[in-house]
Parts: sequence; C-alpha cells; structure tokens
Amino acid sequence: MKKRGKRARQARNLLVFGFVAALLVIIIFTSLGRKEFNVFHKLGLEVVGVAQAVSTGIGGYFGGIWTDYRELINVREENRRLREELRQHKAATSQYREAVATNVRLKKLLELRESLPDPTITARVIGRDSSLWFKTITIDRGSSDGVERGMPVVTVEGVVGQVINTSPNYAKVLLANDPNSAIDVIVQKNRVQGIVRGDSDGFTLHYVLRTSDVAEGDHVITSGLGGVFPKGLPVGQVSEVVRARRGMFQSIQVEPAANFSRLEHLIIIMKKSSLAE
Amino acid sequence: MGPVFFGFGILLLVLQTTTFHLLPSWLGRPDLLFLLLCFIIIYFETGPGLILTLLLGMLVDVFSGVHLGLHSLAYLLLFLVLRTMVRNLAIQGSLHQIPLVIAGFLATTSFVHLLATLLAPENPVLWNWPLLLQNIIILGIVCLPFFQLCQGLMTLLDKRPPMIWMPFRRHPPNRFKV
Repeated sequence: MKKRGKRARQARNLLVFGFVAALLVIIIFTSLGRKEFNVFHKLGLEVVGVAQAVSTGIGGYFGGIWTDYRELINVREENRRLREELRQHKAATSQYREAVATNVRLKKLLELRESLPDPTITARVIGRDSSLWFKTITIDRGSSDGVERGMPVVTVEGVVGQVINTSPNYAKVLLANDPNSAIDVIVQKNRVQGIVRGDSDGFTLHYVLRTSDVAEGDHVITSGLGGVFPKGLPVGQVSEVVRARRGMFQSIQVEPAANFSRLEHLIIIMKKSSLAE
Repeated sequence: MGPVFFGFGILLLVLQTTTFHLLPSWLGRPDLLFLLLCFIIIYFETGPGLILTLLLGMLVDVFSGVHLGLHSLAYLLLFLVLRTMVRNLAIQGSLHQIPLVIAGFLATTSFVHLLATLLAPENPVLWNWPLLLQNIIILGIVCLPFFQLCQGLMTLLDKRPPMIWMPFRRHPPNRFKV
C-alpha cells in the first residue's frame, strides 16, 4: 500500500516537472529570434531589477564610502601639498614684493643722494630708544666712516634728525621729533621763518608772528640757517594753526614729512657742523 | 652670577631697542630691563647689585636719551631708595613687589623727566600720562612672572656644576690629591 502511494507521488512530480520544462522550452523557442520581451521576460526583469536596484544601491553606498575614504586620503595628501605650494608661493611673493619695495626705496635714496650738494653716506637703523621721554635711534655708521657729531640725517621723505654721538662703527641720532631738537625752517609759500621743535606727536612751529599768513597744508622746509641742515629739505606740512587772542606768535602744529616709526635706511649728509667743534 | 645677569640685561636692552617697537602701540612696550634692575636691587648683595645697576644705567645712557649719565644717576637713586625700602619693610613676599616696582618706576621716570627738563630748560619734555599709565599696567602684569624667571635663573646658576672646562681655571698643584 505504501509502495503504491510512493510511485503515484513520483509520477505526479514527474508530470509537473515535465509540464514546466515543456512550457519553458516552448517559451524559449517561441522567443528565439525576437527582439521584444515577452511577459515572462518582463516579469523577470521587474523582479530581478528591483533586487538589482537594491543591491546596486547598497553596493554603491558602501562603495561610495570606500571611495570617499580613499579619496579623502588622497584629498588630505593633496591638501597638504597644495598648502605647502601656497605657502611657498606666498613666501616668494612676499620676497618679491619686499625686493621691489627695497628697490624703489633705495632708488629714491640714490636720487636724493645725487641731488644733495655735500657728500653723503647711507646708513641703516639698527636700534630705537625705548625710553618714555626721548627719541633717538642707533645707526650702523660711525666715526670710522667719517660720521661726526652734528651731521644732518635725512631720508627721501624729509628731515630725520642729526647725529649726536658716535663710536667707531655706530652713531646715535637725535630725531627731529625729540623735544631737544630744534630746526630753523621756513614756510615754503611765503618764506615765513620759524623754528621747528619736536613734541610727542610731531613738530611745533615756534616764533611765527600772528600777522603771518600760515595755513593748514603749507609746506615747511629747512631754511639753511643754523648751519646744520642744507636749505630746502622738506620738514613737514602744517596741520593746525591756532591764533590766540593774546601773544605775539601763532601756535602751529606741523605733521612731519618723514615717518619716524618706519625708518630703515637713512642718508647722512657729511657736512661739518658747528656742533662738531 | 653677576656677569650672567649683566649679559641678560644686555639681551633685554637689545630686544627693547630692536624688536619691541614692532609690537602694536596699543599693546605697549614692557620695560623688562627696568624689571631686571629691580630684581637685582631686591635680591642681589649690595656690592654686586650696585655695580650691576651702574653698569646697566651706563648702557641705557648709551642707547637712550640725550644727556649722558641721566639714567645711571636715576638708577643709583632707585637702588638707594628701593634697597632701603626692601630692608625696612615688614612684609617679605612676592606680591608686595608689584607696588614696589611701580613706585620705583614712577620715581625713576619722574626723576629722569625732571633732570632732563633741568638740564635743558629751553626744551621742556612733555609729560605723557597715558603712556606712563600704560607702562605701569604692563609692568604690574609682567612683574611677577618676570621675577619668577629671574629666580629660576638664579637657582639654575646656584646649582650649576663646577666649570672644569674653563681654560683659565686654576688647577690645584696636585691633581691626584683626593
């Protein structure tokens, strides 16, 4: 009984499989040579397509992470390289800019040197006064270069000061904006004479009569009197004029022509001065 | 120890005259040499302290101001005043050094200003309160760390090994003597 039941099941299975196989063979053969999907193809594509899409999505996600990771390593490397290149270019640009600026400055100094009647010598500022009350600088030229006490020191912009002390290789210069400095000057437009003294911010022009016509923006130059500075060197520009009700003189502030906080290269005019004696 | 501190003073002077002016003006320029001077006056023996004070004063005269001897004299006065104050003060700590230094700074700058005005009455030096206050604040802030640094240097110099490498050092007649 049992044996008969088993055979019947086998026969049924064989029938089902045979039917399916025959169906498939028919489908295959009917679609041979055609270019369009039939229903089964479409169904297959739909089902597998979903799986493909999901699989591709997951793979793409992880692949993307991996690619991103690999690219990140490359980007980091590239970023470092680019930063290094940028730093080098910046340094080179800065050097070029500095070289151009130095060139321009030295060219102007040379022009000024050639325009001055007396022999001159260039010097570099190597130190600045750190005290509260005084304004002096140290330069890298001294008595062995012929520098003497009292010699005027100028720059392209204008008057800087005068040498007050020397050693064989260095000298100390009293800046024109120090209270101890006094320079005989004239107002360029009308030759009004006065004396410029240093104060904390700039210069004060003393001994200009109330009746004299001095206005803001007037240029002040050295008068040549006093025997220290040659005539015609720019000293500054009038920045403020106050005429008080009383008193003989005006109170005049002068903006220095030279920028005392940015002194680098200077010219010493090798002129014998009364201070030297 | 003296030569080392003198060298340190020179280093500070060089720094102050060459690089400190590069600092923005609103930040101020600390007068570290003055702080060193105060440290020397407070912590050194009278003899070496006085010599160092005068030497540093002379050096400052070379690089600062118009009248030579001005800073030497001011520092000598500072030495006398500060030394007397330190010896007679009941408090001996680190915090009281700040007002001492500030008082010393005020006294020294005032003295230099007064003397400069007296030496050249025709060129009065303008008294600049904002700058003075800025310097006082900076000194007050920097004082204790700077003193700590100097103390460290002092301790280091006290503990240093004997300088056997010095070429002019006198050797004992019997080198093998234990």
